[in-house]
This record gives sequence, C-alpha cells and structure tokens, in this order.
Amino acid sequence: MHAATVGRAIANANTTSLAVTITRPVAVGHTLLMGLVWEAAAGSVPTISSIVDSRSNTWTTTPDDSTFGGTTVAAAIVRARVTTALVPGDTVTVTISAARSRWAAQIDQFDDLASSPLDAHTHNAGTATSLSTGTTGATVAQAELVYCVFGFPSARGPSAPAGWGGGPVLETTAGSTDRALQSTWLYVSATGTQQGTLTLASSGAYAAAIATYKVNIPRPHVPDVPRFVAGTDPDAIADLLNTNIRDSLTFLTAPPTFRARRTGSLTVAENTHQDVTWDQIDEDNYVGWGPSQTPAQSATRYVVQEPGMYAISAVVSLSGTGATSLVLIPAAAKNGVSASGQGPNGWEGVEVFVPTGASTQPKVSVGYWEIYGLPGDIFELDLWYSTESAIVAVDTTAGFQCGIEIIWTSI
Amino acid sequence: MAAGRALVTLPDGQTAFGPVDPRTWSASDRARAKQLSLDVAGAVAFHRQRPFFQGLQTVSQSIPASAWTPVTLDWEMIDQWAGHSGTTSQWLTPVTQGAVLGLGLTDYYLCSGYVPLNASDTTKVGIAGLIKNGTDIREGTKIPYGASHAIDPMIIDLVGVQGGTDTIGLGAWTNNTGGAPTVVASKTPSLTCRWVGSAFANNPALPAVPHSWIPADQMTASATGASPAVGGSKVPLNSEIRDLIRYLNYPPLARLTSEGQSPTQTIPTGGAWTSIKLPTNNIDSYTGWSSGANTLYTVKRAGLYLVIGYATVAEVSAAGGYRAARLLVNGTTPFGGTSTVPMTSGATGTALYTVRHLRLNVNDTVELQMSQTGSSALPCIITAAGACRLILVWKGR
Repeated sequence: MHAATVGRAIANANTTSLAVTITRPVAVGHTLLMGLVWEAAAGSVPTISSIVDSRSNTWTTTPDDSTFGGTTVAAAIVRARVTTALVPGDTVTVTISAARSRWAAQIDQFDDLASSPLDAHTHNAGTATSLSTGTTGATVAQAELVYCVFGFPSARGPSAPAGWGGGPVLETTAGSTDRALQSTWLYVSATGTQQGTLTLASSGAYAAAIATYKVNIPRPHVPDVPRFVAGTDPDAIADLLNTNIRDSLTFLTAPPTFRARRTGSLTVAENTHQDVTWDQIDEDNYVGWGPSQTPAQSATRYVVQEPGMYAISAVVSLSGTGATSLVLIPAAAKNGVSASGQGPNGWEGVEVFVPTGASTQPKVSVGYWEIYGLPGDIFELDLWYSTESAIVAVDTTAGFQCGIEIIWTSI
Repeated sequence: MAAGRALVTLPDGQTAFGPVDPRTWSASDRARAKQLSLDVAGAVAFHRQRPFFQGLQTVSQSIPASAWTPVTLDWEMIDQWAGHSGTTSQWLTPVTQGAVLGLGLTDYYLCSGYVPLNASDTTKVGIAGLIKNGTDIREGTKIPYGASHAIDPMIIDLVGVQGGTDTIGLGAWTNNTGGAPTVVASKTPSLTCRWVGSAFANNPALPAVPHSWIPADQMTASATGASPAVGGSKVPLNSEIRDLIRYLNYPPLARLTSEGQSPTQTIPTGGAWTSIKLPTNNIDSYTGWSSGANTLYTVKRAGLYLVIGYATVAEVSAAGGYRAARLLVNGTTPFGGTSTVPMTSGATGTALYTVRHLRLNVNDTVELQMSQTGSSALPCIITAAGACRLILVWKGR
C-alpha cells in the first residue's frame, strides 16, 4: 500500500541538483518512487548523474520511464529499494548533468512492492486539458501498482480520476515559467494494459510517464472471527481494518492453492504404491511444494501451510498397452496413509478397469476428496495399478498427464 | 436466525453468527463497530467454516440387484452443522443459508462420495449415486465389474436444497445377479457434502483485491477518489464489504445437463472427441450458458473453478472398445478424466467423470467431451437421473 508521501521539494533557480528532505520514517524493504519534473528549455530529459540519500540506499539513475514535452517540461520516475531505513531529516539529492531552472520532486513510499517490481511502462506528451500517459503493454502480474507522473505549467488546477491516489499538486514558485508536478497511483488486481489520465482546468503543454510495479500479494493466515470494538484508538483503526477486513477477506477469496502436473516421463511399477513426483507447478500461492521447503522435501509432497479442510482433485494415468482386468487407482495420501482410516496408502478414488489397447487408448482415473490438514502435514497422490499389463510409465500426453489440485476450503 | 438450528461455534465463546446478507451503506451512515461486526465478522465466521459433513461406512452392506439403495453411514467424521440425524442414518439434512436469512433462496451443496462394490461379472455394472428426499436419484460413475478386482465408482454433483428439510444420502445401484456387497477394507463408502453457494439474481462483479487501509483513508458508502487527508483515499464500503461478501455468498455456479436433447445426441465410434450438447441448465448463476451454443460454458468471472464433467451413454450389447471423458478449455486444451472398458454385453451403459480445479479467465470456454471406440455410435443418457452434466463452482480469485 501507499504508506506515505515522504518528501517534496522544488527549485526556482538554475541548478544541477535538488535535495529532498525526508519527512516521514521509511522502513527497510519499502520502495520509494520519486516523480521528477523539470522545465525543458533544452528540449530533452536531463541526464541524471546520481541520486544519493543519507543512508546510501541504491537509487535507479536510469528512470523507469521519462519523457519531455517540447521545450516546456520533462518528467521522470526513479526508484529505490530501501535497505537502510531513512528517518525524518535525511535527504535524497538528485544531480543532473546540465542545470535546469525549475524542478519539482515528490517521493512516495510503498510497502508492498516486489523486490524487482518494474513491469510495463510508457510515456506521452502534448498540449491538452485531458492528459494521458499513453497506454502500457499488458501487465503480467495479477496485482500491480500503477504509478504516474505528470509535468505541466503551474496554476492549471489538476484533478485525477476517481479512485486514484496522489495528494496535492506540487508547483514551483518563481513567479514565471513555473512548472507543476502531479503524481497519481492506483492498485489494480487484474492483468491488462494501463493508462493514467489527468484533467487540467486549462490547456497546457505536458509530459507524462507511467510505470507499473508488481506487488507482493499478501498471504494472510486463516482468519479469526473479526472483532470490532467501539472506542478503538483512532491510530489503531487502519491496522484493525487491515486485519479484520483486508486480510480476512483476502484469505477467503484467495485461499491456499496448489496445482501441479507430471509432464516429464516417470517410471512406475505395477502392484506398487508410488507417490507421483511433480515437475510442473502451475500454482502454489502459499509455497507448500516440497522442494520449496527449508530443508527441501520430496517433489511428491505438498506441505500444508494453513490449517483446514482441503479439497483435493487428482488424475492418474498410464501409458502403454493394457490388458484385461487392469485396474488403475488414484489415492489421496495424508502423511502416507488414508485420512479415512481405510486404505493402506491413501484414500482411494475411482477404481476402474481401464482400456486394454495400445498406448493411444487413454488410461486414466480420477478422484475428489476433502481432507483436513495441519501445518506440516503432507499431501501426496498415490498411484497404484494391478499386474495384468507390462506398463511401466505414466502418460505425458497433454490432457492425460497425472495432476493434482489442492485448495483450502474451511477450518 | 431459525430457532433450534446449529450455528457456527466461535472459538472465544462469543455469540454465534449466522451467515449474513450485508447491509447497503448510505452516505449518511456512520461506520459503527456493531454494523461492521454483523457484516464482516458474520461473513468471516460463516465462510471460514462453511457447512460441511463427511461420513463413512465401516460395516459392509449388501446392495440388492436393480434397486437404488441408500448407503448407511455409520461413522460421522465431521458433522459441523449437525445435519446428520444419527450415527447409523443414511440421510443428511443440510443447513440452508437462504432459510436462515429468510430469503427463500436455494443453497447449493457439492456432494461427493464413493461406493466400492465387489463383483466380477463383466456384463454387469455398479453405480454410485445420490438420493435426494428419498426418491430423486443422481447417478455417478457407472462402470462394469471385472475379474480379480473391485470397482470404486464415484459420485460428485451440485445439489440444490431449500428450507432446511431436504435430505441427501449416498446411494448405490447394481444389476449384478444377487446384488453386490460394499467394500470396507482398503476402501470404503463415503459421503462428503459441502455448502458452496446460494443462488441470487443480482450477481456482483468479481471484487477487487481488498483495500489496504492507511490512517488517511476515509470510509464512504460509494464515493471514491482522494480523501481530505494527504495521501488517503475514499474507501467505499458498499464495494469493499457488501459486494465482496455477496460475491462469497453467491459465487458463480453452473449445472448444465443433456436433459432435453432432441434428437438424442450420439457419440460416434472411432475415438474422435465429441462435445456433448447440454440443452438444460439447472442453475447458471452468472449466465455463462446459452441455448444457442449449448456445448459451451463461457466464463463470466475470472478465478479458480472446480469443473466437473460427467459423460454418460447407453451401451450396445457387446460393443467393445473403450470409453473416455475429458474437459476441453477454449477448444484447444484438454483435461482428461476417467477411461474404461465397457460392459462385455448388455445395454445398461457407461458413465465417467472428469474432475479438475482449473484457473479460468473471462470469456474462456469449457466443454464436456466423450470418446469411444465401440462397434457403433452410442446415445447420450438424457434422463434427469443419469444425464450428462457440466458443473462449475467458483472457488477463489
């Protein structure tokens, strides 16, 4: 989320550097996005020589995006991942290679961006009352932050679309050729193209840049029943709402989900219980797959991360020439045994006499279960088939691969 | 709340909450703790512990020939809302959210189970099923017996219930001469019923990721934009709370069937995958189905879906070959289910499932397909009990 606007500064005279004083604490792991606007008499975006803060955090000097509008205004977005916390009174100093006479800068702090967050970006310039950053290419992540910087002449009364954050406009105060900066941002929850817009009270030459940043999707725990208490300390209300509303409803709408397949060859044996090894992880939002654990566990395993009942759907397959009376059975195993108490190596799914013909004949069977798991419990898919055939491999044909899906459903 | 109904028991001993129909906020409302508790706490209490039953059979039961028979569940593993009327009963009376709310809505349960049966006559079949209100049969996997091994047919279906009086039970059917016993060693009959949603006409949009609050934010009924405080936003409770909870209460659900096919569709021999016509929808809460393109369900809300395909045909005596069912997404991506040999003679039929959790985007299409290599084309079953089905249940963002 946008934690705070932590610094704003302007320059009203020709200078190659501008120091922005930090006004709010900035925590380690947070990301700072700085919008910069200059006058552009030189007809270009100035080259940023360095950006240095008081705690030696690393800033990008190549903007995430930048542009200029003729000889009127230039805009850029730069970024830092904070590795050493900043405190009020610290400064961030931007230095450029050739002096500009008007500057405006705003630094915004975000607490939820990925460590390498930059995704799509673009820019636009023109003269208008309806400003546009241009439209980015499609974003790749479900949850992203869209951040825009608009530069334009002062005293234009900008207004952002509903739903966008941004704070007040920042304007230079030299009294002539003043420039204005307006930052805007929006969190989005679906992939797609993005565009920032801004409306001015009167037309002006502008430069606008947009960049999208991947957001770390929160992984809240199974929610307790929320409690709302009258008289809650106003300073604690935001945290209370994040716990009671954001985290609870995020968990219920995006529960722990694991989906995996076996796409590469896998040797199997008849009359043997064997757990399918997963080599294609389609989804694992709570990072439960065995090799992702510390220490790493078997690639056959999903290690439960949150307590509750899990819906498990699965398919097992065989490849090769069948035989009369050949049966194939999937079974959902919890800690190596059946959660029902019946079944030696798992809770059995459909037991069926599969086709007897060549490998072109699909030999598949499915199962569906709901099984309770505590953190650390292990879910696996047991594959068993009888002795009638000479089959020793699973089917890796698209659509007939072994697969499993595990989804939290309730406490 | 209905008197005498079992409600969610809270871990801290608070008064139990039932499911809620969230309030619509107006601009003049003040966000009081009591209102937030009723809506948010009530919804979380319900949706983190949606009504659920799971029972098993531990003592073998003889299933007589050619009669749908309720399967006794003598072991309650979980009966969260006290809907199972006794430890030896076959019947579950599911709690209904619509009844609790007094809205008269139909609630939908996902009911799944197995009935392992022991016989060896390859000309006979066993079927697992559901029995609603004692007479309404829902057939599941229908597969032949064979030598040396039992069969373990499955049932999984979306069942609408109303009023807190409907009953659901696990059923079995066989045409094996003299019947067939259930198997309770190494496998066992089981029934699992899970509340998955209610039907409601005013289907909300897929809610956005819940808002991250900061002190500068301002609660509103519906207004958006910047709040008066620097850096803050106006956060509309009607979308943040009401619409999101309604979406959880009324997620996309669909149950499409082959009932009403005219003429009855046949699945050609030769092994080609054939999309099954589904002219009837029992529920299609987000209008993903149309009669004009009735082999398709078109996704209206993105997310993770449980997708169930059930393909069923009548057999021609001694048809041979194999039968298989699958799902097909966007006309190109298959998801396989079950395959089997058919009964070696007789015409009772074959019925097979595909059950997968799939991540689907808006406008993705899903089809149910069947393939068979028997001696001739096979007609789809179109009776209410045994019709082909395509079922979708939204499970998550």
